[in-house]
Amino acid sequence: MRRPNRTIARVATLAVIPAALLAAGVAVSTASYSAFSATSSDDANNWSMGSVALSNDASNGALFAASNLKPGSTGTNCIAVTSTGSLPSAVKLYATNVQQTKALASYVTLQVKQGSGGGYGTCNGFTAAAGSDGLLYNDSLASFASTRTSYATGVGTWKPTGDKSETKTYQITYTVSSDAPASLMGATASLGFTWEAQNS
Amino acid sequence: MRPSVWGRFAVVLGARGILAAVLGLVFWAVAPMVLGWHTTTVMTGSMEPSLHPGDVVVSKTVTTGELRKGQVLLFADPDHVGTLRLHRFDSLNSDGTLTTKGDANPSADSTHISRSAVTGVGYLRVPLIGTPVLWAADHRTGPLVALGSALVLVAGLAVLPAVADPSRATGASRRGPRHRQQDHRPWAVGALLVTSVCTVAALAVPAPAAAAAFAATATAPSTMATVAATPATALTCTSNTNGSVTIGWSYDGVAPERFTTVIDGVASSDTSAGAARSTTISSWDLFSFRTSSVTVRADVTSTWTTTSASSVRISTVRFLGLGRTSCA
Repeated sequence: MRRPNRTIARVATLAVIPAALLAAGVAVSTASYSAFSATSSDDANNWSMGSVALSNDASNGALFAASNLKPGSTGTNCIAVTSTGSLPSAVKLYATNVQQTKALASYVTLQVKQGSGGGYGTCNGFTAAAGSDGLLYNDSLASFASTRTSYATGVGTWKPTGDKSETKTYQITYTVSSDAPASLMGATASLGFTWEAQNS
Repeated sequence: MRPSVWGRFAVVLGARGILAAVLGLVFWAVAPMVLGWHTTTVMTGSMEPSLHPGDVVVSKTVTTGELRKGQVLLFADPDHVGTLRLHRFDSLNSDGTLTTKGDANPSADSTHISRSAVTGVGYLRVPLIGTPVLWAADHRTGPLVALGSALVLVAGLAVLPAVADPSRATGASRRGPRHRQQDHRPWAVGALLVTSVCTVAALAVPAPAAAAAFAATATAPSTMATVAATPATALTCTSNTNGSVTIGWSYDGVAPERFTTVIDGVASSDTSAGAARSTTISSWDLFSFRTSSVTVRADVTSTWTTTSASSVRISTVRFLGLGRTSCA
């Protein structure tokens, strides 16, 4: 076998560099093809970098199904929300599918507390967190339903770290204003309380 | 001697190949920026398996009319001010907004976006080369330093002569500084060039980092309904032998606080419990002969009241403390 000399080195370099550039180009084009040619998402749940996951203990039950409300009527319920994701995330609560008749929501006060203990169906043992973490919202339902409608505008200070499963309990209380006019008889309001976690 | 000569030859050429491949990848990531396209780094796995964290995605700027379902869109994240999101166009909504979804996410993104929010459509995926951006974002200096050292090492190897200079091999150390300088200058220039290209690329690639957000939601529905305005119906009037009348009614609503008897449009002091379905009224303190219209009002509260649509008529004759009321 010959010793390599400068000529061989020059020829080899002239071959290797274009080959490497070509390989890079092929890598980019095939990667691009596989990434952007799909026309729909395939719901493959292979999350190599972890995920966020959120559930509540209401198992699709209603938080409230209040009927025959009148001025001064009030009700409260608790719901436990659990984060089981492996990524750090931030959880926000907002309103979805808001529907109402006769502007009932303007005469309903909504209070949302965040804390621990208790769960769906009972607030026994619920303790609100201290300070601003404890009281997330205390204003009219109409304002909640019109301004807190997306993750970006949602309320909440909970930031699960993703290291382990974490649960927070939310106590939600509504009160029909005592000066609600008689025109509100037979009015309805419905909304979904949606908790959303997005990785941070 | 010979194996080590070929070994050096292989190592140097291998280093040149690696460097060329890395520069080739960087070229594809950076060059489209000249066209005004966007280069972003994928930060999370929400688009797996199409896009992996550490990939660099080049997005082509498009007009809003060119957007098609299935495209991977780059847009301002509606949920996090100042960040970008790279998700697939999932569906078009009736109000003209777009619903997007991460391929690996169980559900679509909760916030819809407008067409004008889209800054580009994913066009090129350059695998892995954004990984240092990920490390930098996570403040993982260890791997960054290791990668930087490895690059410097590879670059250093690549700029070495693939074949030892025979004249240097026989006695480079004994040669004067003038010769050394002459021998080394092209390689020094090459090393400088490679380093500066890498630096420029490293500064250019990280540009905006697209956080392809993961999301998960949990919803609890709730409904509230106020008591319906239910009037008393089927009013009846029965004359009693003692000179009073009994007003009866039907009611199928929620038990009100009370029923109030309304005579000629004026609430009287005659009230009945919410469960009652009749009340007896006698002649009231009037010196008169008159006919009155009687309705029954269901009072859910003092303000939430519903008056019956139907009425009954009664006649009252009263004179000097003697009176009689009867159904008219």
